[in-house]
Amino acid sequence: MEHIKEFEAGLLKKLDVKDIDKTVVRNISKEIVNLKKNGLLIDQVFVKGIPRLDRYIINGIVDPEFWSKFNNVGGIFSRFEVFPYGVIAHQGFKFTAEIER
Amino acid sequence: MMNACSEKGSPAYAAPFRTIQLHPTRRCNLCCKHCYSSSSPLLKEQLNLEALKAFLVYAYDQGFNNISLSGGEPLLYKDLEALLQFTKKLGYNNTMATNGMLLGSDRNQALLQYLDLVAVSVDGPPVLHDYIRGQKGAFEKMQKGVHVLQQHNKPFGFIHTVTPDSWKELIWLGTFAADEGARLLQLHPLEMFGRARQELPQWTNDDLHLHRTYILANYLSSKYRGRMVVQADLLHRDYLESFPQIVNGFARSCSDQHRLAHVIDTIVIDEKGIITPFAYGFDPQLSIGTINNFDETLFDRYLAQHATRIERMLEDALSGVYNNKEQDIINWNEVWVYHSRHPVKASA
Repeated sequence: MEHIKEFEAGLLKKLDVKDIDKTVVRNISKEIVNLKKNGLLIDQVFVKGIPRLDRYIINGIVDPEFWSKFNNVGGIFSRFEVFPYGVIAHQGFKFTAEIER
Repeated sequence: MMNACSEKGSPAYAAPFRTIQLHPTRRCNLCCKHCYSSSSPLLKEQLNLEALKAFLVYAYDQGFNNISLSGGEPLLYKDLEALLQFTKKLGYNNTMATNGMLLGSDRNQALLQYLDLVAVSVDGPPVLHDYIRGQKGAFEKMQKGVHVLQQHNKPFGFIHTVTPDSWKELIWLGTFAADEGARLLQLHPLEMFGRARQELPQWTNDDLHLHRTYILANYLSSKYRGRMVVQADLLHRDYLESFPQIVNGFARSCSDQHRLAHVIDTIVIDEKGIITPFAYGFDPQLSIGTINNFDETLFDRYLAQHATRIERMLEDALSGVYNNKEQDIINWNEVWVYHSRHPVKASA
């Protein structure tokens, strides 16, 4: 717990530097988005004032092992699209999936 | 089980959310400095329930399945219970954004049974919250409302408008929301729209503030994963460039482009009954119509007349985002509403 508090205080301090080097901040954001673009990570767009709890849009590029995993979890997807034209390559295809709970 | 994308009148659990954002009244018990709809206690106009019901039947049949009540304070809408009862019976998912201060009354506790999710606005720790709300003790009253939700075991979340003054409180906010038992923390950057333009012009979010919010929101999202959903209404430009279909319904491979609910997944109804696509504040010249005078060809006629223009506008707005290398973090809602009113054709 103390470790987390220390980390959070450090993170805020780093972001709150008066003459912060914007390149550093941009690089952190870029790393986050690179992670999002390359894995089973979650993102969504929400319109102001609209509370949504139940919908995730997942975008990513999956590894060849994915289908063996997908067979186990496929039932939870309400929608699964393969881009661009429904053609599934052996590896590295892009997808969008939605899960509602 | 995977579903096709062409459900008609599908219940919310079986289809992507297609949302009707309802502002049944702009009357509010507060007069918040950041209110995008400029709501206040002085406004009296309310939606006609019967006209609204007729439209909601039509919209459900057309594929919309999620009601998102906003305002004003929706709890001040006199026909709220009848409305929620009606939409629940039709099959809609009912959600409501509220300031939480009026949840204690018997009437308001009774209508919680028709709501699937309640989102309570919080602007930060008590002093900041009371300042934005313009009322001393507002935080305490909001917290009492949250306790009512807890007593009823009602799923709830918090919505926070992030300002250049509040981003430093996001860690606090995450702890507060999680400790209260929230299942959702939605972070929405302040937009210079409505009352904020007059009251808070000094609080315009610049790219640096948006980066800070983006980083902290992603941190909070991982910290509370599995316990509370943390969502920031922000996208990185690179992400949007890779996945434009997130915001552009015309770019989705499974969209039926002849069905309005497939390409415009949110519509807004204001207290006058005017139906607007996408978001509150979108160019009124592109309004869909009014609930007080519509027929069953409304959506089809709208798409026939405007789809090509809207698709082009979306592409131009996205091009503008991709080409502006100075702005990495995007509040798409703000960009899109602004673009609808000030269209700039993207340069080749």
